[in-house]
Amino acid sequence: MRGLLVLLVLLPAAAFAQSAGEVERCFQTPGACSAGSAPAPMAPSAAPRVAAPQPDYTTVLNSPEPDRRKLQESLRTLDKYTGPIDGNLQSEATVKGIGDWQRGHNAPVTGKLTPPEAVALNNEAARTPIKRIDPSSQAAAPPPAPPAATPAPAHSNADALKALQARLAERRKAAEPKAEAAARSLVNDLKAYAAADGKGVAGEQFAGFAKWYADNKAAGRSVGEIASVIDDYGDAKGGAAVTSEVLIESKKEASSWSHCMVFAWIEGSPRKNAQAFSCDDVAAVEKWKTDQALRSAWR
Amino acid sequence: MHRALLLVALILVAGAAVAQSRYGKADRRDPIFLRFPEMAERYWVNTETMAASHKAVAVPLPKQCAFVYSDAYTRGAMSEREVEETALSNCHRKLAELGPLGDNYNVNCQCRVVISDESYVVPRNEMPDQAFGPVSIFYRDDRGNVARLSGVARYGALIGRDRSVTFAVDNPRGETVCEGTFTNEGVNAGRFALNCFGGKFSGTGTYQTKFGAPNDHVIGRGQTGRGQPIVMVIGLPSQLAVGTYGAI
Repeated sequence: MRGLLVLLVLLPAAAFAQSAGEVERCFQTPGACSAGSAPAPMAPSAAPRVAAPQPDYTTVLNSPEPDRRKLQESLRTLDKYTGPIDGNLQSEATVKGIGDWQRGHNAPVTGKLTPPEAVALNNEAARTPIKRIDPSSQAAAPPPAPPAATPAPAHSNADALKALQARLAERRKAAEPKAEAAARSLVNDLKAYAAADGKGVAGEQFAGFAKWYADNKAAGRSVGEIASVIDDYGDAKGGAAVTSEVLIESKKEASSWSHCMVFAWIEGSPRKNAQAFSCDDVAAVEKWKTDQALRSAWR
Repeated sequence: MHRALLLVALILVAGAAVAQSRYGKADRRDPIFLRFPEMAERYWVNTETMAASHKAVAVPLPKQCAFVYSDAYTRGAMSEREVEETALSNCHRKLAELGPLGDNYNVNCQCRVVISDESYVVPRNEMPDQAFGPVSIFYRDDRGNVARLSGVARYGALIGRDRSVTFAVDNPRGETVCEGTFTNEGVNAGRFALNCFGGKFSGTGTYQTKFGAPNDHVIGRGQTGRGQPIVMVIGLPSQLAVGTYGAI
């Protein structure tokens, strides 16, 4: 009988974790579910520390202002703090930064530092190299330098920059024939589409261009000159990627308008991942390049 | 004399208005740029965009809504206002494409221009200080019933980049219901652990960060201690998450 009673008491708890309905109810009203429950296993900092001595937080909080500023600078170096360096270790941002740092070290997340923690924080920041923007990282990886038979003499930054520029120019020169052929082919397709009064691969591949053409046609305008300038070219995950800025003239009687679009595609027959953007939407063009993992041979 | 005083007063009022519209310089290390590294690259590094005469960033606010962004840069002779309008319009478009947010949020998420020409144009305390994203958790119990939980996830670092990222899940009423960790084990992939309602519901599994359309998101697949499947999606509104990953 007692065994049955125990079973009756345990059953709802056992059933709880498995029932989708209960999980949904607990999600909506967590207070009803977590009351009296054991601490979350993934929050060790919340576990009771009955026998542990009280940690010393006052020493660091009452330390001289330069020391407190130094701690904020250390947090900033470690990307944990972006607020002012004012020595206020009890500001919201500083407490949060300390908490983030403690969390990353599996320490109790208190937002306050004990003296050993303060030392560890400063030491960690001192070991972190200052991050600098590497200009060479903006371009695709340059071809590897030929192995030197003898130790190379030390070069100045200006020499290194010149060498980098020379490599970039060489790489672009090598890419130019293919890039220009791809851009010429696009312009031919755009002209053919206009000549066929809205029929052809250019419209099928570039929906944005087809819409622009249809709008102009509805407004009684015809297509005039089409000129392109290569914006970027390089290897991407799907093949050679091209982005080309195209200026398209439209005319009606004596008036003319010019419209700028960036055409982006992966070379192939048919073109892949083709998209047309407004020239103003630089962010979208750059996002397209990122999505295609374009390694520029042009810039 | 009166006219001169009026002029001085007008200048002072105008000056104050301008001063009120700026809330300090933006910095590459600000949370918004750490949250969206691609944008940071364009805003601060990429020579094609960083040197634009005008640039602007728009995100949905309040801060927990800022899981998408839009940045715009001068092309041709665009004015600062036109660049801001482009950013705002693209932000609205992105939100509209992702669909309704009502299952995840109980606040009205609205796009606003937050940075213009390297200065904040909203108070700093309105800016997100950590990463947020809509989250959906799907769980199938041993009877085949499926729970669909929708809320907001918040975390302090970049999932998939930082070695270990702790996160919390709030329900639409803003109550914290789950905690967990993502542990990076490879390129944008690793393991996750989830713990809800004080340990009464928990699971572990693997996750992957996915980039691109419809929005960058994290998809985690795992199981509870009793082997029942769990799917967790961070970064897609509930309806989109259900449509994409809801068939658990």
